[in-house]
This record gives sequence, C-alpha cells and structure tokens, in this order.
Amino acid sequence: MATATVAAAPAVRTGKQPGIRPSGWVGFLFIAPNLLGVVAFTLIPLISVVVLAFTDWNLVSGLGGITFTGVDNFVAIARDPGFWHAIALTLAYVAVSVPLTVILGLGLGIALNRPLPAVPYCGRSSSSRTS
Amino acid sequence: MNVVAIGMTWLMLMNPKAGLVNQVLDVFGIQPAWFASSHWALPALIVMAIWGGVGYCSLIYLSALQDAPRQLYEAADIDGASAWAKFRVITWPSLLPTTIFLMVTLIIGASQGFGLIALITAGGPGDATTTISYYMYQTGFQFYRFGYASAIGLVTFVGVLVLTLLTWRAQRGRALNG
Repeated sequence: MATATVAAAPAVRTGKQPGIRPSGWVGFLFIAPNLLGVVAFTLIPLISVVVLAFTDWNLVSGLGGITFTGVDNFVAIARDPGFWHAIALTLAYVAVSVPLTVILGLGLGIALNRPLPAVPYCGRSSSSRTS
Repeated sequence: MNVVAIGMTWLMLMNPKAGLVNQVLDVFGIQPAWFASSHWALPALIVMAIWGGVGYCSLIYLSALQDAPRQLYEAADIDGASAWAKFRVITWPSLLPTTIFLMVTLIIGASQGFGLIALITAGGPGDATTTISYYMYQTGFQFYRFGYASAIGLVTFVGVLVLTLLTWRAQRGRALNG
C-alpha cells in the first residue's frame, strides 16, 4: 500500500503539473483584497475626477444630476478669487516650509554624522573607528 | 510622524495662555494668538510642518553623508581646504541628488497639505489658512460642488507637476558624478 502511493505521486506530478502557474484567475484571487481597495479608493476616484472636472454635479442630486458643462469649471476657476487666494497661500506655505525643512534637516544630518558619545553601539561610526 | 500627534503637541505648545511658546515669548513682551490670529495661523502651521519633516530629512541626509566620497575629503585635507570649502565643493554637490529627492517629495507633500489644516484651523480664521487642498475639500464636501472641486483638483495636479519638473530641471548636470 505504501509503495502504491509512492508510485502514484510522481505520476500525478508529471501529468497535471501542480504548483504555481504564472497566469490565470487564481492569481487575481490572491491580490483581490488589496486590489479591491485600490480600485475602489484610488483608481475609480482618479478616473472620475477627470470626468467630473467637466461637469456640474452636487452629489445630492444623484448620478442622474451630472450635467456636462465643458470647460466652464476651468473658466470659473480662473475668475475665482478664493482659488487664487488658496494658490497664494499654498505657494507661500511651500516656499517657506520646504527650504527650511531641507536646510534644518541637512544641518541635523551633518551634526549627527560624526562620532557621538553613544556611538560605539551604533552603526557606521563604530566601524570607522576600528578601520 | 502622524499629523494628529504633531498637531495636538503643537496645539498645546502654542496655546496662547498656557503654552510653552508663549510663556517664553512673554519674556520679550509678545503674545501672538497663533491659531486665532489670521496673521499667525499660517506661520504656526508652517512651523509644525517643518518640525514634522526635519527628522525624516536628517535621516535621509545622514545616510547620504555616509556615502560621501572619502578620497575627495582626503585630497581636500592634503590641499589644506577649509571646512566651508570642503562643504561647498564636495559635500553639497555629492548631496545634490538627495536634496532634489527631498525637495520634490516635500513640495508634493506640502502642496497637498491637508491633515494639519483640517485638524488645527479648518482653513480659518476666515480664509487665512485655506490652502488649495482645503479649498478643494470645502468646495466638494461642504458646498457639494463636486464638478468644480474636481476641476480644482485637476488644476492642482498640473500645478504640482510643473513645480516638480522645474525642481528637476534646476539640478540637471550639476551633481558631482552625474
């Protein structure tokens, strides 16, 4: 009986070639949990934003309430003082915070890149001491 | 670090009456009302954003510094170069790709900054901290003008893309070995 199962096993293996096949719907089942999230919360919103940008829609009116208005939205944006105010604030925010973050980060990085009192226990400085 | 943790910490630090920041500033006789003042709300948010980003930057810089070309420093030492000259001629150029990476990611992140603003000021006082992402959020989810908000999003995307490309352009051919 034991010999029979041993003999049967290789036959099955060569016949159906079990193991991981590189393609097929089973693979999609494995990534389905993550793919579902990506499609629902990234891909669909990403595409719908491009479409909705050319429409007038207030959400409450439902999907039937979507009316295409061409480039009206973009014309309105160009004339919207609130938009330009927001752009100015954002540019100020970026122009001040980004360089300062980089400069302070560089200063801190250089300050840390040397033998410090506690370094025999951490990484590079200990190896540079021994070399 | 989580924006909520950063926000709550700085909200306490910048409390106009009991906060540490104003206790110290009291020595100089100034007491900004930070988030209640339309002049100081945006600077306060910028301070928070900087504080939240510096740690990450220094970590990336530290790892880049440990990759810096040793033989160049040695040559500079032999030539008797000053510390500033070594920084300007060796350190800064060899860090340029790192700097550009940090600049690009920070510009993208800061242009979309939303968490801190939603948590701390909600765009206010008035519209003093209504940056583009918060304006888009207001338009879409408070005034329910989804089409208009989507158009703002699209314009913002193009704007950030242009900013990123400009940053990228600025460094071309200036790196030490590129």
